[in-house]
Amino acid sequence: MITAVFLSLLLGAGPNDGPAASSPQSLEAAPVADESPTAWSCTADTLRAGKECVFEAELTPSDSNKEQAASNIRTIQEMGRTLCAEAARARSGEGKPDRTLAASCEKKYASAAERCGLEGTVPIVDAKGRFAPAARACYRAISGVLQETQMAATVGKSATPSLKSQPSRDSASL
Amino acid sequence: MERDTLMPSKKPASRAWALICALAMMGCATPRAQEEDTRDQPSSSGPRATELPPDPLNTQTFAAQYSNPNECERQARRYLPLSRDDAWAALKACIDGTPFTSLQALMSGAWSQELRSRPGAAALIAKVVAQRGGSVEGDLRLLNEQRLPIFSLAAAMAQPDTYKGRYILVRAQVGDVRTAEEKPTVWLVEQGLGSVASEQQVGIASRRDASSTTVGNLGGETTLGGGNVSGSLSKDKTTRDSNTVLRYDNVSSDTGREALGRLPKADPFLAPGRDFVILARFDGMRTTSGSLDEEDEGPRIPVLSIVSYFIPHALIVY
Repeated sequence: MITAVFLSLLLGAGPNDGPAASSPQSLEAAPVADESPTAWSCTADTLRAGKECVFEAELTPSDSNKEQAASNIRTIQEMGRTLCAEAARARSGEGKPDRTLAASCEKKYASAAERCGLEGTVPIVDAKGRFAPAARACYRAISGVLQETQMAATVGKSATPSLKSQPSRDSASL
Repeated sequence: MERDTLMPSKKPASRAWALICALAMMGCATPRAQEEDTRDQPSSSGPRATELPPDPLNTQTFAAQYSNPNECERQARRYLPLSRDDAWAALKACIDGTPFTSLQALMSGAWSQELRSRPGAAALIAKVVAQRGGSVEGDLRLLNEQRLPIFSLAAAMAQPDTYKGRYILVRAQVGDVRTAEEKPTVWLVEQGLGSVASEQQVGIASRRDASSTTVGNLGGETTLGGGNVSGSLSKDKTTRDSNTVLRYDNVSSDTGREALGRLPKADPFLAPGRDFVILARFDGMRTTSGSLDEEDEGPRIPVLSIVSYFIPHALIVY
């Protein structure tokens, strides 16, 4: 009888057992990864500033590859005019952009943008303008064009040797 | 970043345990057992303090009672049979309120269940590692020997799929910070610990400088004529007595590994230029823009979600 009482007490009233269910923050919980983009995503801003960034975006696979590829190229080309105009302005930010440099930039930019279709598998940028992980080659190509233009604008080179153009009034010269 | 909530103890359970003890003392012990119990007791009056049930826990004052952190942990362990919540709260009070560095005591079997199931256990372990000087590589080895799943950044970078979502402990400095949608992400530069040796003087040093100059003049006459020779002799002597010993200083240096660390909100205390022991979740690898080769796949950088961080102590416990 005493044994039965003892056992019932033992089974029914042990020390309180801490957390009832395993917390997701505990060491025995299943691994949890945050796949969302960070603040270091590659965007038009990082492209413009030439800053280091990482390729991450929230993308949905596209249905039509042909249309998506064309849309991707169009998206990049639409950014080109603004980005080239900014890059062709001297680093000080004062004055108007060098038209010759801007024209040269746009031509090279359009050529580089041809590789931005990504075969139409995913959009090149997500809803917040973050470049897709697959867009690295495209990003590097257009980034190279913009940096070259910025360099030329900074040192006052009116046109790159590859492009024979008429001298511009706005352009500075050494 | 998380913060534990201290749970009050369950009173009925404590009462039930008291009843069990009473029953055991009254009806279950045999006369032989009573004899043995009597022999085992110390000859002085009354049982020792550690054999008595612990006082009701007051987390505000608990750790202050013990100048020895290990004694504090031993006393916290006494609450385990009565209330695991109280025991955990007492252990946290010991680690927060004393310079607790005994990772071995923490990883002893008594706390094993708590370390695995409590939501704040990983952060508590990280704090102890920081209090031990932040020798992350060495302490992770101890943790992994006990199968506690906290890993190194190097391991996660080597096998990203295996470690995705798992806890990472890294000693790092903060570099650049960028913020998007009010959520900052810091660039972390991992630091490794090493030591440099230098000679340092001990005790009193003495130096004695002595200088003497002798001046002479000699004159005379010969059959060929008169002459005069003069000159001086100076002597300098310096004696220095001192004792030196070889001293080793801890230094941290870049390991070459870098990571991006997500923060839930801006944190001015996570300042650049100083080392931190950082507990984080590993979110996988991302491709960076940093390479001149357009066709190259590009360097990859690990992304972490920072859970908590601590400033490592200057002295290292091995």
